[in-house]
Amino acid sequence: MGNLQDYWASKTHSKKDLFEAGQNLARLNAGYELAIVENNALKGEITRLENLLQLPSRPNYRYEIARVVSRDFNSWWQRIEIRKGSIHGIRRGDAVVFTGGVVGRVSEVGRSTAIIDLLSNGRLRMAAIIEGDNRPMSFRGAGAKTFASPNGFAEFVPSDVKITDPERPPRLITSGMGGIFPPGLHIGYITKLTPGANGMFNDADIQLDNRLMGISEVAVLIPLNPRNE
Amino acid sequence: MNTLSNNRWIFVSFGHYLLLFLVGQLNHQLTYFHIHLTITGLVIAFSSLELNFRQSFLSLVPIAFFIDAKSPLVFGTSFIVILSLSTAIYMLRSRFRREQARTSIPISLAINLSVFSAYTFYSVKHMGWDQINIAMTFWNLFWSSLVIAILHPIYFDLQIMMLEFIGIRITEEQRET
Repeated sequence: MGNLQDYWASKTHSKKDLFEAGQNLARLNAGYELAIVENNALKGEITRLENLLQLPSRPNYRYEIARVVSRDFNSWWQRIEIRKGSIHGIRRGDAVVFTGGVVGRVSEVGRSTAIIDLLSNGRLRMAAIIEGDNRPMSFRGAGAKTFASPNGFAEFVPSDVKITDPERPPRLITSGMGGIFPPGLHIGYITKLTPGANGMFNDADIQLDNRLMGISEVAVLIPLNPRNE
Repeated sequence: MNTLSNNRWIFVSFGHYLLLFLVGQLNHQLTYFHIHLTITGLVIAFSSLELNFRQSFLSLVPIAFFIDAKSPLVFGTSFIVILSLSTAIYMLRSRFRREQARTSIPISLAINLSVFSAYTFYSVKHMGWDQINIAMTFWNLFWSSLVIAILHPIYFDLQIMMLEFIGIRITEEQRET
C-alpha cells in the first residue's frame, strides 16, 4: 500500500522537479567522491607521518600529544610531568612515546596532569626483543650517569647475541608482549654484554636515546579498546 | 600587627615555596647535564634557626606536603624527614651562634646531607640497591651544597627583609631574647 502511494505521489511531480532532484543527487555523488579522494589522501598522510616519526600504527591506539611541564631526574628516580590527565583519557599504565621511541609509562594520573616513569627509571620493566630476533628478554631502567646518556639493563639475553660491529650494535625494540607497548618501538642499543648469573644467558647494558634528557613533548598511546584493570 | 606576627609562618612558607619552585625550574633545565639540585636543607635551616618552634613547624608543613606530592616515595616520607630534622635543629640551636653566617651555612649543609641520606635510605628500601646511582648521588650532593653555600646569605637576607617589610623584625627579637 505504501509503495502504491509513493508511486502515485511521484507521478504528480513534474518533469522539472525530477530533473532538479536528479541534479541534486549528482551533486551529492560528486561531493561523496571528493570526500573519498580526500579520505585516501589523509590516510596516506597519516601513514607517511607515522613512518617519519616512527610511531606505531593507529588502529589500536589514539595519540594524545602533551607538553612536558617538569623533568625530575635525580639519582633516586627519573620522572616527567605532562600537562594532560584523566580528562584527556589518559590512564595509569598507558605507554608514552616520542620520535626516538619509548619514553616510559604513566605512573600517576591527575585531572589535568600525569606523571610518567621514564625508560631509565629503575621501576620500569618491560619485555623486549632484539631487532630481527623474536626471542624475548627483560628490560629495566638503570638510571643515568652525569654528562652521559641514560642507561638501561637487559637480562636473559641469548648467549649467541654478539656485538660484532661496535658502530652498529644490536638494537633493542619492544616485543608487544603485555599489551601496553606496541611491538617494534625503539628502546636503545646494546653496548656491553656480560655473562648472566645463571650462566645460560647474558646481561646487557643498554644505551638509551640521549634526547630523553631534554624531552619537551610526548605522545601518550591511549588504547581504543581499554584493557580491564 | 599581632595577627601578622602570629601568622608569619605563612610569609616564610610562601618564600620557601617560591625558592623550591625556582629551583624546580632550574632542575628542569639542568636535566640535560644530569644534575639535580636538592636544597631542602636551606629551607629547613631558615625555619628552624630563625623562627620559634610553632612558627617553624607551621611554615614547614605545607612545604613538606608539597615535596611529598612530587616524590614517588610513600606519602609522608618528606613530612617525617623534614619535621624530624627541624625539631632536632630547634633543640640544638641554643648551643651555637645561629645569627652568624659562618655557623648557619654549615648547619644548612649538614641538614641537606641528612636529607640526601634519608632519601637514599628510603629509595634503597623501596626500590633496592641496584636502582640507586651512588656516584650520581654524591655528584648531586656536591652541586646542591655549592648552591646552598652561595644562596644561603641571599636567601636568609631576603626572607628577613620580607618579614621586616610587614613589620616583623626577627634580628631585634633574637637580640632581645
